[in-house]
Amino acid sequence: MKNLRRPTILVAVDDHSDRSTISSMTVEMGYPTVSVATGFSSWQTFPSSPAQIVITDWMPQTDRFELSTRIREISGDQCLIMVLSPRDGASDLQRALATGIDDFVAKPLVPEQFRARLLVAERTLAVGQSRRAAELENSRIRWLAGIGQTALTFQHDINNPLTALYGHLEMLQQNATLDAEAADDISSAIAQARRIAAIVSELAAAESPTTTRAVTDPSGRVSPESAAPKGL
Amino acid sequence: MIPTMISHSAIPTIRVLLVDDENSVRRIAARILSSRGFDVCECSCAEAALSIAEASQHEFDVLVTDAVMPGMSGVELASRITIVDPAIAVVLMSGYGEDDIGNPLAGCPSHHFLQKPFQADELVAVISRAANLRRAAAA
Repeated sequence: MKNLRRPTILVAVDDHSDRSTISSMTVEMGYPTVSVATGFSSWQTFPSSPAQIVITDWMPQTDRFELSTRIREISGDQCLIMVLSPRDGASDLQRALATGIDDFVAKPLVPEQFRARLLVAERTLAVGQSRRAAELENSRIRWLAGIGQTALTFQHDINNPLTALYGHLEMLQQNATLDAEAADDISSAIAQARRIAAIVSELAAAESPTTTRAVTDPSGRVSPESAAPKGL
Repeated sequence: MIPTMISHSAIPTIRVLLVDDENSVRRIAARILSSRGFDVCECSCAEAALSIAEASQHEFDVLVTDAVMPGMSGVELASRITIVDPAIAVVLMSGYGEDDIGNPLAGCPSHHFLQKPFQADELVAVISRAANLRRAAAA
C-alpha cells in the first residue's frame, strides 16, 4: 500500500529488532518511514526530514525528553510523538507529557493495537491540519475584510471632494464670459474628475458589503467595525 | 449653527432644507440649487435642521441630507422630520453606497438616494422629482 499523502514516520528505536518490526509495520501500512538507531541520530535526522509522527523507545537515561522538546521547537503541534515503553510510572508519564510526548505504547507490541494507535495519531494530525487550514482561511478573510474597509474609506474620502469639485467646475462653466480655452480647460477637468469617480466606483463595487457597513458613533468617530472617519 | 436662507423668484419655488456637515459639499450644493431657482436653507448638522423643521410648520418640500454625520445621522434626521412633516420628501446623499449605509427608509416612495459624487443636473433632477412627487401626493 502506497499513499504519499500519509504522514511520514520517524522510528527512533535503539533495539534493532524492535526498530525492524515497527518499521516493517509502518511501511506495510503505507506510511513513509525513516528509521534511526539513537536519539542523537533522530535529532540529526529530524530537521532535514521532518516527520509527522515520531516513534521512539523509552530510555530516561538518554535524551528522549530533550528530543521531544526540540521536535516541538521545530514542528510545534504538527508532529505527534509516541513512546514505546514497558513502564507506566505516573511521574515518568507526567514528565514525558510535560515535554510534549503525545502517546505511550506498551511493549511488547500488540500489532493490532499498535496499528490502531497509528490510525488514531493520523486522525489527530488530520484534525490539527484542518484547524490550521481554518485558521489560515480566517486570517485571509480578515485580511480581505480589511481591504474592504479601506476601499470604503477611500470611497467616502474621495467622493466628498469630488462632489465639491464637480460643483465648482460646473458653476464656472455657467459663466457666460468664459472664453473657449477656459471652457475647454474646465471640460477637461470635469472629464478627469469623472475618471477618478469611475475608479472609486469600481473600488467600491469590489469591496464586500458584508464587512464594510459605515457606522459612526455619537461623536462622529468611526467605530472599529466601520470605515467612515467622519460624516460625509 | 445659524441657517442661511437664500430666496429666489422661480415659480413654483421648491423649498429645500439642505444638511451636510461637509462645508465644501453643502455650500456648492446650495449655490447650484440657488442658481437653479430653489429656496435653500443650509444646516451643518442634523440637530439644527430638526429644530428648524419643527419650527417651520411644513415650510420645506424636500429634505436633502447627508446620510452619515457626527451626532444625529441623516437617516435618523429623516425619520424624525417625517414624524413632524409626514409629507416632506427626503433625498439622502452619501459617498457610500446605499447598501453600505444600511438605510431603513430605502424603498419608501418619498425617499430618494443620491450617490456622491453627483453633478449639478443630477442634484437638481432628484430634488425636482422628489418635490413633484410630494406635491402630486398632496394635491
